[in-house]
Amino acid sequence: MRDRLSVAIEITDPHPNALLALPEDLRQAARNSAVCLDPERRLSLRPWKAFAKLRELFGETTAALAVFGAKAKDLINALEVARAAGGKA
Amino acid sequence: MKSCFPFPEVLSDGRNWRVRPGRGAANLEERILQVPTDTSAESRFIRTHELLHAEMTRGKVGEKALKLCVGVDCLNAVEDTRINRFLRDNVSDIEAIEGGGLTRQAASDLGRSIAASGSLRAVVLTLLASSSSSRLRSTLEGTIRSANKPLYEKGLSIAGKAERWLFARSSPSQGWGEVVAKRIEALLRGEGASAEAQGEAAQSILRALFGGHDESSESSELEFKLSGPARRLARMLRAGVQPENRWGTLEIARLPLVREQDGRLGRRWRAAMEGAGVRYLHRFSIDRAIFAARRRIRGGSILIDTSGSMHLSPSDVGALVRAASSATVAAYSGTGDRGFLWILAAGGKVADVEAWASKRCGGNIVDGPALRWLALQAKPRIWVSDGCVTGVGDSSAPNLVLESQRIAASAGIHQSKDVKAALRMLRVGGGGSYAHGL
Repeated sequence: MRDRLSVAIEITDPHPNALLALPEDLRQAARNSAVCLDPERRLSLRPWKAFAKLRELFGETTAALAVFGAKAKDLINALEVARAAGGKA
Repeated sequence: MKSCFPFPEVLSDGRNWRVRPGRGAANLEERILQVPTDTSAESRFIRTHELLHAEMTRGKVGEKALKLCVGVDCLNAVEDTRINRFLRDNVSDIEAIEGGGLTRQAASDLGRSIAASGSLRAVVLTLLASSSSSRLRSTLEGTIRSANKPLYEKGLSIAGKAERWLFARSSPSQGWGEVVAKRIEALLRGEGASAEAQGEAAQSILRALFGGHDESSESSELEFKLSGPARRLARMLRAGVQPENRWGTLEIARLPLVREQDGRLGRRWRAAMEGAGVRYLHRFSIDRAIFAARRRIRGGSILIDTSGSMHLSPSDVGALVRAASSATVAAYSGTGDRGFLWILAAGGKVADVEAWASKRCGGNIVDGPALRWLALQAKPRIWVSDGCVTGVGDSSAPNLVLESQRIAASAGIHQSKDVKAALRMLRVGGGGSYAHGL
């Protein structure tokens, strides 16, 4: 498929407007994980959007479990660490 | 089974982190977290702990230990205590925190092995580092108490004192942790040997170093004239560092060498325009180099320090093994009073580096015996190490620094401080100079 496209542009950052659609505390995490160096861990903005929406309805833990599955507890721990350490998340 | 990973991207400095499967280590310089990836609470604790190192710890522990004249184990234990307390106070994952990264069985085994070693230092540092994980701490205490009550009571008393020092400040900084590590080190050394014995040993080392000069009289002037390592030794002695320690016992482990060394450097023949045997007839119309000529194969030996302070990932070691062509390559590290040297490549064949990675330990312990092994191998001899040599208990001491320096100098061993420098050295055929940067 790639060879049918004559121009390839590397996108190094998600679109700023797409980030603005997220709550402020998740923007940095979403931006960093969209350009993560490990393909296995890279996340698009969609799961973050879903997480942001669901956590308003069901709380952070349930939303994380619904969106991130087995990785949810690690995400919750990371968010708590970042908040306590004074990060932006 | 699903793999779990930490989320360093959430941190304030969350860009460009890599996560690799491992037992638990944070390479802050290269931004790599090595963590177990299973779903257990113990592994989750380790992932969150390493994540916190990424957020809260700065600098290289080996270099700091040398500068502060404290053992790497002591500095690590205090920093882990600081991190674990922060984790307990701010993260709600009780299940993971209570276990402290170890199952009950693993905690009991650890307690038994520490009690059997009789090492007060190990008891103090382990109890201190586990102080924020109640289940882990109570299992460790119970096991050590039942196996060796006097050792437990002494260790508990010192660990309690250390904990009070560290948390005299409500949220201790890393700098405060280093101050406390120095105090703990002084306390542990006071328990280990009499001041008189330490003084005598110090004098003998000073005589060896300064050729009969009395360091106390004109120390600052002498220090100025001394080379890097000697200056550091003088500082260590002045700071009251235990002047003598001994190397741990070295075991040489032979891993199965499972595949041929690949790459251009590993081939024994090259195409040539003259020779006796035609081997590359297809090249006649290209460059007429149809004959086979023996390639001069670059040999030599490489010894890699894979202790925690080096922050080497299995891929770093793998890169060195691949680049080393037909050299003999060995890695070493240790724990407690034992160390292991694994032959990773020899005779053009290499071991499975990924499989070896699970066996490596966190400390040095056996730098001297490993260097003696290197001194018997083929030249050029390259030692990949940051120079933070330690002996039993992962503690450094002037006599160990001196001895390792002597072995390296007398055997013409070239020191390379990291993998990149070693690779550069290999490209120029083992050149470079013996770095007096121990």
